[in-house]
Amino acid sequence: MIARRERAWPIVLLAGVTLAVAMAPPILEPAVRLDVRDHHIAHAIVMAFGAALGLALAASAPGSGERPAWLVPVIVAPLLAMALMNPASYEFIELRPVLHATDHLALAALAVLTSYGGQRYQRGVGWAAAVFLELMALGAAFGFGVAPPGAAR
Amino acid sequence: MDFNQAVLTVFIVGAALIVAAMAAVALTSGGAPQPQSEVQPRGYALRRRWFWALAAATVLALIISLPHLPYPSASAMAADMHVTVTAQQYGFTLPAELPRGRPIIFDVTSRDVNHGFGIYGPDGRLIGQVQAMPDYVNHLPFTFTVPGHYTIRCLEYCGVGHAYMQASFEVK
Amino acid sequence: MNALTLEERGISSRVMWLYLGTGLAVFALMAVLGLTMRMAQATWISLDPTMFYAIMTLHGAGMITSMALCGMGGLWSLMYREHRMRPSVAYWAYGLVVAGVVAVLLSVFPGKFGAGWTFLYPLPFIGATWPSWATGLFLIGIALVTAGWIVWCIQMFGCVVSAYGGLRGALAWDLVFHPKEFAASGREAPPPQAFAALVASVDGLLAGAAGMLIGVALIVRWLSPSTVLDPLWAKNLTFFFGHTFANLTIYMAIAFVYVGLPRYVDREWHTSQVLAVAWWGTLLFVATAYFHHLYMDFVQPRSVQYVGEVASYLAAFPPAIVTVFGGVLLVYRSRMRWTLGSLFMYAGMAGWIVGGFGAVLDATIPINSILHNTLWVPAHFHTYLLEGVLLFVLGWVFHNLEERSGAATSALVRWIAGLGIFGGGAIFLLGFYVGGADGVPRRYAMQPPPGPEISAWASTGAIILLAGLVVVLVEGIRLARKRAASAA
Repeated sequence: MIARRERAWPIVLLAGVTLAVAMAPPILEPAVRLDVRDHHIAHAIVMAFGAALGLALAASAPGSGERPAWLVPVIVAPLLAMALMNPASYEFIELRPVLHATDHLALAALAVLTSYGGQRYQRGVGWAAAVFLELMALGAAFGFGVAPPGAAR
Repeated sequence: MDFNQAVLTVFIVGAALIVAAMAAVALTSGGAPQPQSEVQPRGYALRRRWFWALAAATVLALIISLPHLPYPSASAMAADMHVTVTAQQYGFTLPAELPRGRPIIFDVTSRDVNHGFGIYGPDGRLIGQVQAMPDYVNHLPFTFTVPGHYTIRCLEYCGVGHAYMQASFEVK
Repeated sequence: MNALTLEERGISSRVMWLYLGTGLAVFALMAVLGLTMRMAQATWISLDPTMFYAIMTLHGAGMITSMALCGMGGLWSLMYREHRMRPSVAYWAYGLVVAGVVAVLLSVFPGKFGAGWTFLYPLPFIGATWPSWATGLFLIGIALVTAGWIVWCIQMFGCVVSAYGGLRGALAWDLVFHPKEFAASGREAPPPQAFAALVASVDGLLAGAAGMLIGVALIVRWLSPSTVLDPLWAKNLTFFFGHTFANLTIYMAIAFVYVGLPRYVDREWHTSQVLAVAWWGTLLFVATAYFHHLYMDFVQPRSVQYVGEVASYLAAFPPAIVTVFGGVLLVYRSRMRWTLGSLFMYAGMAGWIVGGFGAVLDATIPINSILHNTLWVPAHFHTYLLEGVLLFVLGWVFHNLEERSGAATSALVRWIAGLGIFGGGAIFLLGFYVGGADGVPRRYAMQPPPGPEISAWASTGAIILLAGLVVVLVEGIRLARKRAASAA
């Protein structure tokens, strides 16, 4: 029982940090307005913590072998995360701190689902799924809702 | 033989040699067979030589090609004559006449979708190109040494009128 | 891994033939579309530009997907022997890809979507001669194909890391860097086809990520026209996705040759340190060579242009030095049984190297200035696909048919098929190379001279090539019936 509590502490800590990273900026600094590129990067950071939490949670999950049902969150969660990263929604959400924090929480949860789901599907896949998700999130920062420098529109 | 034809010739000769070499090896299977344990050592020795030959050819190709890239230098950008080219579905806007012997920088952009600014010389040969992109300006350095009638064709698929998208200018 | 039970052989066979059969059926349909395009360019038939470009869009998307399906199914069945995978995942991947193919098909017939299979932003949205629903359906179709591809890649990645002791084992890291300890441990290195599976899954996931990102962005743009996208960013993602996905069809199909060719010569194709390192090179170079598609985008950072040329050259090393040379060494002074199966596998390697040579020339930046977006581009990839990947696939199909029926093709039929596929194929492909060197632009519904004259020759070559493939189809049906008759 003591060993289980000891194993749980790092996960609880990581969960706490993830929650803080996700919710603190919108709640504590509601007046800050980021440009779309920086906002995407901020979301990628939130999801990085979420993905790490998912991997940590999966480390103590039982079983090995292939469990196909867990592929559903691995495929669907990143797509939902990209939909939440629709740049047209950023201005609206930034003006509403509670909604903004909820949005970040959702992104973190989707990242947890992605990496946790991957590891539950098959050991090792969670890491690949986490990298896949982060590449998409960071990649968005370079052009999704981001105009080129000096562009007319 | 011009550069374009030289490239084609190199390709055809290379392709013929590749096919001939593989056919020659295939024909050896009709003769007296050898066990794999005897073929492998000689084969691996040949592979080492093949690797070094390909590596040398690669280094040579890089040494020859990399100093001749079409991209403009900072000094050329500052000093040369700039010519604005705007592409849009389905035409190009650029001057009707350009000077001979003077270094030019084409400043190429697009009003709508991606196009390709392809320059064809008086003999009909493609002599250079650059992409015409919306929201960006690509700078293509060029010096025309041959007078005559030049044609521009679109070299990036841009919609139903892509094949008809042309312009021309004179070099005097 | 233990030998397959009867039930497991059935599972493997059903997945493989489902993917191969669908892939080859899609290929056949796309081949007819391709011939239609060439004949229109030869002015043998009249096709209005809207229809031409709609067909061109479907032909490109369909051909790559058809070869991907063949590689996915074949490699799945080869890797199933190494590590038992759940067939339900393979069926889900298949279902997603086929749903995507149907969506793309409907976007073209009747939607007439014609932005090209590269859907280069902002073309799908500006100057469109097709309805908006066709744009959305096409984008959703590509997203579904990508989702199916990602599912396959995930399962394949899980397979290789489970079967060989993690990523380190799948890469054969210890074989390369600690060979004595590795040999002493009694462990076996992954077989050559496992490297094809690893590279396809890892680079495939990278391509899938890029494809999903640009796919989602374009669907958002379709739904909300005020969405801003950076065109250079979009171009990079589109070409990284397309280049990598298309290249991986070759690297998947070579697994057929790794497994099949040795059976005709009673020799081994084993994993060596050299083979492992060669595939590490492929893993890296396939992903980094894509910059060669953007040489003519002068706004790209100069450094990545250099990376593009160097990576493109280095990408040629593993096939030329290791895989194809290894295949040639396998055949040299062997007791090779020349059947359609072995002939296709061997000839496909020649096609791969020839196409690669054409590609390496175009990947040289000063040469790219006069070849980019001319017919030289379809020249090299039609060589890879028709005289490379397709032949690897047909070689594997015939290998299986020959084994099951206990019969082989007569020399006469082999010669007729060969003349069609290689003779007709050479004329067809030369049409692209000669046209490209002459500066004839690609993707032109109406070509400037000497385009139409060259297209007439190319169309003749294509008809001969297709006739050869019909002979192959008839022979395939004959062998399949022989097997069914002997089993009855």
